[in-house]
Amino acid sequence: MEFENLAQSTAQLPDIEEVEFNAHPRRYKKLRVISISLFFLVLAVGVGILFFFKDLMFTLPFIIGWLLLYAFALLAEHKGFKIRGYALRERDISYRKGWIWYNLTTVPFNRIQHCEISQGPLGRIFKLSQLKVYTAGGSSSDLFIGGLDPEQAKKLREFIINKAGLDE
Amino acid sequence: MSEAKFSEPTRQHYLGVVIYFLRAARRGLSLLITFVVLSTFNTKFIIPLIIAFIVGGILMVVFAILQYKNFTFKVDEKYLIIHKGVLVKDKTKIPLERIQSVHIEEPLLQRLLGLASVQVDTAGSQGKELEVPALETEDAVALQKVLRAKKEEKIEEVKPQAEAEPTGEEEKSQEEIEESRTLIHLNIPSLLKVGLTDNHLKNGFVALAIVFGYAMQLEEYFQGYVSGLIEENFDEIRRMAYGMLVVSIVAFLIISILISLVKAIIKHYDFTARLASEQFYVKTGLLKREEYRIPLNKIQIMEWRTNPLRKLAKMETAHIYQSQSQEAQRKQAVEIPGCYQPQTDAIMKEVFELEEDRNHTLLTPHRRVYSMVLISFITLPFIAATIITYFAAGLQLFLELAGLIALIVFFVWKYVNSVELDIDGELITIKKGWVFPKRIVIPAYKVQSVSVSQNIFQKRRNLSHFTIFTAAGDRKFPFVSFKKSMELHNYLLYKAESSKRSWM
Repeated sequence: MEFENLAQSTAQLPDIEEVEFNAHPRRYKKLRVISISLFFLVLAVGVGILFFFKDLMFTLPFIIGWLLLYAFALLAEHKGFKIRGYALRERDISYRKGWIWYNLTTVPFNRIQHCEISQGPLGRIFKLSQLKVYTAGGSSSDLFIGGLDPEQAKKLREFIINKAGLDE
Repeated sequence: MSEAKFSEPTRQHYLGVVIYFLRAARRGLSLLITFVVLSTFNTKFIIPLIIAFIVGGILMVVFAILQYKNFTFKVDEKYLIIHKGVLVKDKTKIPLERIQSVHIEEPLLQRLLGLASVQVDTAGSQGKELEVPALETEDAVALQKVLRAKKEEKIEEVKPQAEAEPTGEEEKSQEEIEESRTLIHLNIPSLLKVGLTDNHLKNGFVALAIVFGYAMQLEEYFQGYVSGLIEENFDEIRRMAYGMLVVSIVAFLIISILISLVKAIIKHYDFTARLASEQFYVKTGLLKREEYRIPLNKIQIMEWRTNPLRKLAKMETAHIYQSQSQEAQRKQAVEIPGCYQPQTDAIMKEVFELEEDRNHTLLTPHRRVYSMVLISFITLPFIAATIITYFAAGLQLFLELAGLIALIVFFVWKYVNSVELDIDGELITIKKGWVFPKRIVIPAYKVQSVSVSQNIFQKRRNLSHFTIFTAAGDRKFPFVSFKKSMELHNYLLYKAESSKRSWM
């Protein structure tokens, strides 16, 4: 594709694919595996209770299905974790993720409205923070980067706030 | 003078009590209907009904008074502060510079009482749309003025180097409106034309759904009496229904067209859109007169939509999307009905400051893959349903299914062939839709963020979805080659990051 009429041709534009992406600390993978396992545990207990009172006929297919799904989720997490990462450039921040559903989102600093750090209960145990970058106009364009070292998250936030020209 | 007016906590007009009471009453109405219907079946409900009615009424009056008493608002140097709430006290503090737009609404009830309500919209995901209802009309106008003036002041303070907006704009605004030129004014004939070319089927089905909804509710009250009746006489009813098919289709069409007309008249009565140097002014509505003032630089997305009837009349409806909180986005795009080519050109020229013709680059989705995915998603449920009911229904159903699938394939293919994205250096234009064509225009530099996504099946074919996020919502472009997506990604970032123009 050629954007013939532009000041710059697309070939000269900075290419996001050439940027090095920063990976998460290894312990973030553990956290994600635990949270996936918790989800499947709750699912198993919930459905198990249902069957206990109802009908034992579906127990075996359910267990097989449950195991397959659980294994698949772990596989997807394992594959996906290699892709997960953020990248900073002079004027924007990007995050990419997903093995089954790959997604790369980039937010220019001059479009950022607000930036904050949060930490959930699992995050407190693993000493990991989440960086949330908000843009105007609704949650769909916001960028959440989980699994950051708290120190790193703080630095990132300061960097972004500085670049975006936000105060406080 | 007017500035001092709202610096102290201010109450609404005392008739606000009436508004609050009527709002509560409207909410209680369907409950009331339930009770009334129940009591017609069984007389033992009558006494409790009367008691519930009285107690409910008293409670509503008390609540309305408390709501009025507890609602105060004030505007200080930095914030608009609203206190409200009866059981849960709520305090909202909005920084003035965060305010995106302020407009006045006059719903029928308030208009009858000479009141108006001020709507304050703030952008951002934490943003909420705020309402200050039941003000005397002059007070509403004064509040709107104060908020706009202070907001401008704040913005100037924060960014002294920002491009010099004409100061004292607020005082000028009245003259400006008069000076501005009328873009579209719908007189009665053109109003009827807009109504006659509306999407009658949609209006008809929406009405039908509402009627059905009520019918189902009633059915519950009647405890299955009606459906029992229908089941007993099913064959007879079916025979009648076939005979009445033509009659009912004609009746449905006539009613649908009538609904379209009524809708057009209520919504667009005396519609006026004026274009001043920096702003759109829109005034519209029969029962509820609505007034919008849209600064042109706040416009993030414009959409032109049409339908087969309007295409015949060469008429389109323009939709304006401004930077707004998500809540507000869902509720309102400002609509400009009855756009012909000259109006469309004028809007494009003013809003997007188009100069000479620029070169265009066209992107198209991978048509075959896109069609196949759409077709399988749409037809799978039908196929499954047919297989399940095969034993009961037999071969005829399969023939009908084949016809249906052929129809779906045709429509999907036509739709997919209409999808394209055009980028010309300043504007992104996405076209989609065959029966209901839609043209989405987004200035490239207003992009908030961009994203490329690709699922594992697309990976094999090197395809991807591209999403453009703006302060007024996001727009997707599906099944485009991954390479082109990345080029578009890089290009739009370059446009947004290198632009110094005000975008919100």
